[in-house]
Amino acid sequence: MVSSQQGVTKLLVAWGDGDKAALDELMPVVYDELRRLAQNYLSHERPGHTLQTTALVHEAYLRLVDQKSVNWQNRAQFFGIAAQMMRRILINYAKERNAMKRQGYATKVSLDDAISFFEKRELDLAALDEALNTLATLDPQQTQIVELRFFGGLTIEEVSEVLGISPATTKREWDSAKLWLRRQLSTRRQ
Amino acid sequence: MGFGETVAATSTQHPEAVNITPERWQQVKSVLAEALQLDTERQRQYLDSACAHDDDLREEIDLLLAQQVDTGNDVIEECAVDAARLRLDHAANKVGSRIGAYKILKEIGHGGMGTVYVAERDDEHYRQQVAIKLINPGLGGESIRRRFRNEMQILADLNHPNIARLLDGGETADGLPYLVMEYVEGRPINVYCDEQKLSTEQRLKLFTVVCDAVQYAHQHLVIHRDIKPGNILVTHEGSPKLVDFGIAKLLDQTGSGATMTAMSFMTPEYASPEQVNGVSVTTATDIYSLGVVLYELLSGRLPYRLKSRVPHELAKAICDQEPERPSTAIGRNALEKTTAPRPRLHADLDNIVLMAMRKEPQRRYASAEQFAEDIHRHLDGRPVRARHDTFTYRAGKFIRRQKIAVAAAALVAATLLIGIIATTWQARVARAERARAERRFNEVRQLANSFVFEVHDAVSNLPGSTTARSLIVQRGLNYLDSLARDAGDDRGLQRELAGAYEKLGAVQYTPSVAHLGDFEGALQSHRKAAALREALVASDPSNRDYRRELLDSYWFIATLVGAQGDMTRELEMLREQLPVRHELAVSETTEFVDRYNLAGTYGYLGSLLLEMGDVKGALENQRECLRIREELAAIDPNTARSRRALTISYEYLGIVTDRAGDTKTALELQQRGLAMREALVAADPLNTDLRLMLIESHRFVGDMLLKLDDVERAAEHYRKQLEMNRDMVAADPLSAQFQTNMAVALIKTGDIDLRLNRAQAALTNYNEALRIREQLSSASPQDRFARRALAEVRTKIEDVNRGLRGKKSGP
Repeated sequence: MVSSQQGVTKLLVAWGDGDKAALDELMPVVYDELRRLAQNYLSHERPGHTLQTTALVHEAYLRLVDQKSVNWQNRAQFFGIAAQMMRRILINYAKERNAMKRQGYATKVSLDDAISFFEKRELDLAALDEALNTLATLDPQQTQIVELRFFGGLTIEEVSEVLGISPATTKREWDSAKLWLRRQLSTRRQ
Repeated sequence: MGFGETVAATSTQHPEAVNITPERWQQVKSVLAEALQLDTERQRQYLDSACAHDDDLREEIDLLLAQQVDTGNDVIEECAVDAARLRLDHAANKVGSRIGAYKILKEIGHGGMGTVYVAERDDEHYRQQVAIKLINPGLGGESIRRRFRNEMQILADLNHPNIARLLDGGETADGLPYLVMEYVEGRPINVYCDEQKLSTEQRLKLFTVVCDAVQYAHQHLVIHRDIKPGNILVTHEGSPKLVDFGIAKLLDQTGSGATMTAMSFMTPEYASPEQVNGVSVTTATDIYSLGVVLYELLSGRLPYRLKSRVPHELAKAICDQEPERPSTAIGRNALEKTTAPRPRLHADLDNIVLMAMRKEPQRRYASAEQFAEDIHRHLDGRPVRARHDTFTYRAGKFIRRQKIAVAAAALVAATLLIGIIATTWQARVARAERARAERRFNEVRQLANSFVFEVHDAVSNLPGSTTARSLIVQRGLNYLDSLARDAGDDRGLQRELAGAYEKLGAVQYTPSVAHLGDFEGALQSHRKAAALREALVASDPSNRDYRRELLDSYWFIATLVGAQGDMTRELEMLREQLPVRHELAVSETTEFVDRYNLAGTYGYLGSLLLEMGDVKGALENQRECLRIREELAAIDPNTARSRRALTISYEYLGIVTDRAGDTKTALELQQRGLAMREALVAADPLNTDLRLMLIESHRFVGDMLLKLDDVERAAEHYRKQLEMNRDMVAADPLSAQFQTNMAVALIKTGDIDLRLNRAQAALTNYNEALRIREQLSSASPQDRFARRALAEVRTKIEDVNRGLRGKKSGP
């Protein structure tokens, strides 16, 4: 298991150069770091402080990657992985929270803020997750685009870089994914 | 919890929710993507044909389309944009990322409106450091974005050595607007003056350079709105550069200004009374701020003691408090601070500064030029125009005089065209032709009031500039006709009038550049110009300018005659020009104008001959044209001009070469032109003319590739061309020229569809082209190009339909 900054950076560069195995090593490191950071936030909760998952992703990047040794593609790829991981952390937390609520516990933990980021827009995170899982069976790339944008905070251009497709294509895929998600979410609500 | 578990969790499938297969989804997606590009009616038509035999598909698409929401209500989009913004905001260090074609190098400023970075454009053609302003988006919708783009276009046209250029801009795909500006490394003008210990005289000279730049911008209808030392940077070479010209307004239009008042936007110390009162801002506003800057440069302090930044108290000070005379202020400053003592200021300088800073906009200098002029008068020891503002009768007299000047100057600011006339008019006043001048004055004033303000508003508020230009033409014509009636034997005025008619004519109708589609009007305008010019040549046959300009008029008339259908006559008219063109070209020295004209004449003759079926004649003329232009490319230091001309030759010679049967050579020529145009556009990305040319190149390269059966590469170029065209039409939907190009692009794309056996898609494209061409043709019924183009697309549609019917009824 790699944990040093050099290690992660090396893996990232190797993956960027086409070494698929590097990804398998990379993912758990990123996941752990994100979860650790999230935990850290949870235990040092300050009133009024809003936890932003995307900011978390960014912080993980600053901690894990030696920025002088990577190029833009590596950076984008890192965000790609981190976005996927962040989605999982957030969903797991949301499930946990709902379970606690059902059991009558008061929830006061700070990932609520991250979830409310979606909820204040009436996007049900669990439903979104489910919809994304379904979309993954139809079109994995579209799912990835949504993940990168929602959980990684990547722009269309950056998504294009990560996936190696043109911004126009990304935009097109994003647009139809949006319609699909919206329909999926509205049917569920009924 | 281990890593594996969570991975497993996401791969859990929910088969009950999946009601379509991945393959089906791909199909749905591609029809959907196409449909999303179209407006409601075209969308329906498209779907009718695309889902003709597949009701389920149609139902699926309709369900998805029903999910569309307005931009403001798109929560999913908002989530994504917010997420991106949160991340970008959080990123203390954005160095290394990209915005458009630019790589961010470092952050140099951060404010309420957004962040400023130094960035670098780094592609194979071009390497340059720029400043990028990434603007925090406000609540703006599509119409605001469109206005932002228009305004940007106006700013992009500012091309002055002392104004930092707007190089590029737009929005990231997420809708964050950004501006790319020339990056200026320099010191604020006040700091620079103090550091360099400049004398009063040196300060004044430096300041007049700033005035010239402001004057230039005002003539282009751009007001700075936030002139202050921090926006006037002096470079190492000692050259002042104005930055952020017009940016205040631009930002206001993105909606970023919505959350802040106009005041917090401005630097209060330099804000004019009309700005703090929220009254409309004019060129006089910039004059005021320039006055404050000069006040500070001369006295070392600011005119008002502002005790607080509470808006209404600020407004009160700026509107009611009389500034101390700069010369007195210096004295006190010297006591307060131990700066190097400055010589006592001349009373004239007091008057000049205070005149620029008058509370009432109409009592300030009428233009930055006048402001600078008065400073020059002082430097030359001549009496200045500014007077101490004491006696009411004087003030009264002054206001009367100023009103004339205001009207004339406002006119100068309106357009170059009318500006010329106004200048002439001012000269005539000086010649004391009182009675006539008086009447002219009333005309000018009337024009200034209605014209300037109407035009200005039209330009800043309409989606495209076309409507505004229509208005200019209308007003301009009325005015020119009235002037022409009593131009008398004044040669200077006649010449300027002819020039003005020509410009109007060109705006009304010129094949192959942006125009209004008013064919008859254009012909009339050019005939009026020609009549004036004939008289001029007759009065002085040795004058080169007169001769060249008369040829220009004939040229315009010839091309219009030709466009009306009489090509034989057009050819004759143009050939008649050649001897005079040659004569002018060989005797030419520095400007090369006549050589460019000569080349252009050969090129044009070549195109005409080709159209008339004389391929050999066309080749000869195009080669001669290319020869002259290659010569020019070697000697003309203006490489942008000579390269632009060369690409035109490559294009036309390419067309003829293909017609002569050598498609491979033709492709090479077109590709050479394309590469050169790409570089030209990269260097000047907002230049409409160059973008139109690049679009053409893509089309021709596509044509040649298609002819050589390289369908895939051809399709690539057509796609690029259609994409660029859609951008142009979106930015200016009323432009006939952009519409024309759009139709061509659609037809080419349709042709490709047909080649790939996608008859329905081809039909969709052809039909869209048909609608555009029907509109264009009914707007100018005499235009044979338009008629022919319409017929062409109708034939294509019939052919496809026949083919489809044939298939259906076939065995």
